[in-house]
Amino acid sequence: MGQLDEAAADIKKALELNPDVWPGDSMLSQIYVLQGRPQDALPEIKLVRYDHQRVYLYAIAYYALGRKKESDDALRELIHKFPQNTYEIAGVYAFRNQSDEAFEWLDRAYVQRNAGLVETRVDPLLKSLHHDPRFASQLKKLNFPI
Amino acid sequence: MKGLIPTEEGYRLAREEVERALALNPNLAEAHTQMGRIKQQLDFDWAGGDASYQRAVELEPGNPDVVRGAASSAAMLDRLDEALQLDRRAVDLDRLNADSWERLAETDFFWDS
Repeated sequence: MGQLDEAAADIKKALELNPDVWPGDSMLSQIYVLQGRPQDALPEIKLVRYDHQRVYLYAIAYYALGRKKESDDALRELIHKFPQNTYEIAGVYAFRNQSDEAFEWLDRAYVQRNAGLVETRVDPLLKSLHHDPRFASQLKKLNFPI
Repeated sequence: MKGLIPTEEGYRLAREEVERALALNPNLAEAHTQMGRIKQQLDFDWAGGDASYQRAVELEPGNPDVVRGAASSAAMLDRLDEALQLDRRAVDLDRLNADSWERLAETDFFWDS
């Protein structure tokens, strides 16, 4: 069993014990996307309670499904309605391989001291940025030990 | 949003309250856990935060909330093997604790990075 399969099994167990566990359905949706089964993420996203998270997840899942226009619409909605969710917006751009925009929003997240930044080093949604020298600069700016 | 206070004010209050808790009881594990979170999330002081999380585990090794905090710190610092060990320990301490299973899932998820 791979790590993402383990992650799916563990989060399902958490949801079984407490359907309201945070971030429950949102985490499972992201796992499905990264497992290459974004079609299974869609019904999970419907269960996510918070509007900003649903929009964020749709932006990712639709992109993974090749439904670019719907991903664009969701991303536009995320930026328009929830501009304070800077780290999530950066994650969507990174997942869509739009590194310039991703780094721009990571900079905004830094200025804002966005809580999500603690995950920068290990967030799989940011994987596309790892080869970019700006990612090492970002880690340095965040004072992460190299 | 209604009922919420501005982020900066919330951060300031959290720090003051955790500092007060530690002044009253320097051996309060949960306060060390919260201090670890504040140091890492607000100050980007990874080593200082990690030390706070580890102090909390020294004080209460049987508290799953505290063990989860240390697991989270290890994961953020890309020490994923250590994070997994701590996550599994938290689950074993209370197998009906949904938050511990969730934390374990997160570390597995980060492995994909």
